[in-house]
This record gives sequence, structure tokens and C-alpha cells, in this order.
Amino acid sequence: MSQTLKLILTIVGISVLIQSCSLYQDNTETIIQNVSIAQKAPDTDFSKFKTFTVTDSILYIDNEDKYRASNHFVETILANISDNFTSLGYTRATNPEEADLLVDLTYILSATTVYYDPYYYWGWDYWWWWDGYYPYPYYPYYPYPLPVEYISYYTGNLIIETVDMTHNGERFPIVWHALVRSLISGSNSKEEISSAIDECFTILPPKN
Amino acid sequence: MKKIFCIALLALLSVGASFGQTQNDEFADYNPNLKARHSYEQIYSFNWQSYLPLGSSNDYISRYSLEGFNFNFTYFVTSNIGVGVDFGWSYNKKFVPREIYRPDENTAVAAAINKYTDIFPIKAQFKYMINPKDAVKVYASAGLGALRYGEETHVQDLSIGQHSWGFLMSPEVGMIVPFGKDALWGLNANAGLNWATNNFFNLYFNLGLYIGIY
Repeated sequence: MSQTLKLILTIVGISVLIQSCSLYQDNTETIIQNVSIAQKAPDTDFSKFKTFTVTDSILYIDNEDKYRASNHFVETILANISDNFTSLGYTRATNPEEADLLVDLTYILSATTVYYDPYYYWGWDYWWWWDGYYPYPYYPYYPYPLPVEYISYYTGNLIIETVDMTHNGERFPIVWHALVRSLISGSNSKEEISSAIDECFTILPPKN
Repeated sequence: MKKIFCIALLALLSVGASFGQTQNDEFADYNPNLKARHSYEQIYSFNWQSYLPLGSSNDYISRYSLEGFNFNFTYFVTSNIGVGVDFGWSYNKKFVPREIYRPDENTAVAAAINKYTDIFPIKAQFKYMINPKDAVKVYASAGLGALRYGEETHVQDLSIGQHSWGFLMSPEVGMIVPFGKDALWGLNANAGLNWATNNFFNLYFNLGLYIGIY
């Protein structure tokens, strides 16, 4: 066998070895995409809900700071959500106080405390409010088992909560919960944001 | 850690190859009688490894993996019979475009995901060289050891996965082809099965270079 062939084989062999050593896990394909999650409260009869209302602002959470705000962008998102509920057959209530469903939005600017449900298939994003109760004036609650155990760091999550306002009691259950992860990261167009929100209503709509 | 390990392997390979070549030249120049040598006492081989996942491993990622390496050392107690150690590392990846997953009837998730697997088999080998005096030397081996198998699913920057160790059984057939008569190095090629008790099963192929010592 010629020296040249030996040299070529040696170089090829070492190159392959170096290549196999230098592999890294490139998640570019998934990082640039949104993740849409939708959940329904078990045993909820959505046929009893006829009307809905949507809040006029978004609750922002920036670590320990929480505040509500509205701007043109927020209005676009709220209009999109309203359209989705309308297309599912619900009617927007003329008097918000009499609506069967309240839809509220939260955006996580920066959060360091996240609760994790070990029984949840995906393991991520199954976060909950600090004390398990809804923070906005109506103080509803989640009818699922409260998750525990895990602390992590999440930003860029948009959460859509739908609350049953027909419930008798001091707390109101959340009957539909949707989450779009890393939605408003600065790199998403309005079309992508609308598409991600629409997807939540498509994969598991808030109806029977 | 992997980088350090790989650099060490490369250094060993380079030193071994240089040493083998020097020895070979010296023998050829000054000691022609040694050209009657027929069988190696020790063989070190460094290989590129590829594999086809089988069984439940194939359910998770069916892609043929091209990313991996293997190291093998064999000491021949006779011209035919050798014992040695063998280990390697291989990696596999599959991108799954956006799909809807239903973990339960009340939950839906739409996401694009990346799946990863990596394996680290390490085993003791019993090797039988069928024709140690021929130009193309064919061997068969049986290995027993352990295999670490990991699966990870990535969504955006998040990951979830698990790793486990299992008992490993590994039959293998292969051949070595010296670069000339009495050469101290040459090509190594083999194929084998990894069957591990942690539900990993694959068909692997190794292709690389070896350094032999008479």
C-alpha cells in the first residue's frame, strides 16, 4: 500500500475521530419556535357557558413585581383572543359583570419561582401561581392537583386564563389554561404571535 | 471531560502511529529475519463507529447514527486467542417538526422537538483470530460488560431525559488488514451487536486504524 494512501487513511481516520468528539447539541431548530400548551379542567361542561369577557390589559410579572398594562400590542392580542372565543360560538358580554367566562392574560417578563408537577408528562411549564390562587380581583382557583417540587427560571411566557364566573363561591375555577412559551421574545412577528395564540384554541379549544 | 478524553486518545494514536512506523522501518532495514513474524501479540485500534438502532431504541430514534468512536485493545495469549477491552461513545439525533402531543385528554402541546441519544458501551472481550498468518486476518469476538444509554428530548432550551446502565452482551466479527507484510499498523473493520438489559439494542460498525505489536 502506498505511503500516500496510508497518509490519506490516517488523516481521514483522525478527522472522523475529531468530528465525533466535537459534536454538540444544537437546538436552534426548536429554540426559534414557540411552544403552545392548552389545558382544560377535568369534567367541565363548557355547554353551560354562553358569554365571555376579556380584560382590557395584561398582567406583567417581573420577578416580585406585578403590574397591569395595556398598549396597542396588548390590544391586538386581546382582540385576537376575543375573535377566537367568538368563533367557538361564545358571545361577548355587553356587561362584563354578567359574563359566564372571564379571560385574562399574564406575561412573564422574568420569573425565578416555578412549580413543577412530577406527574405532568412534559415536566416543564406546568408552573403555578405562588400560592395556587388566582391573583386578579376575582380570586379563582385551579381545580387540578397543585404541583410541587421544582424551581426554575422562565421568561417570555404568555398565559391565557379562562375563569368560570358562574361558579357559586368566593373562588372561581380556571376552566381553560393556555400558555405560549417564549412568545414575546422580540423576535416574533405579529403574525407568529397570532398564529401561536390561535394554535392554543385549535389544539384543545375551550369547549366540549 | 469528553474533550480531554478525545485529546488523550488522539495523542496516544499519534504517538503509537509514529512509534509503529519507526519500529517497522528499523526492522525492515536492520533485521530482515523478523519478516517471518506472523501474528501480533497486542493490537490497539481506534475506530469511527456508526450504528443502526434496533428494538425499542429504534422506536425513539430510527436514524442511522454516524457520530461515534471506538477504542479496542486486544492481548493475544496465543496466535489465535486474545482477550481485551473495548469501549466507545456514540450519539444520535432526530429533529421532529411541530406536532401536537396529547399527554392526557385534558392537555395538548404543540411543539417542535429534538431527540437525542448517546451510548457508552464498555466491555471485556474474548477474541478468536481465525487466520492470524494471512494478509487479511478475520476474527470473531464475544464481549461482556456494561452499557450506559441516555435519551433526551429538547424543546426550546428545555430538556428532559434519563440515563441508565445495563448489562451488555456483544458478539462481533471483523478483520484487520496490515499495510503491507509485517506492518505494525493497518485497517480494522468490524460489525457487531450490542444487547443491553436497559432496553438498548443496536447493530454497529467500526472502521479505523490499528497498531500492532509483535
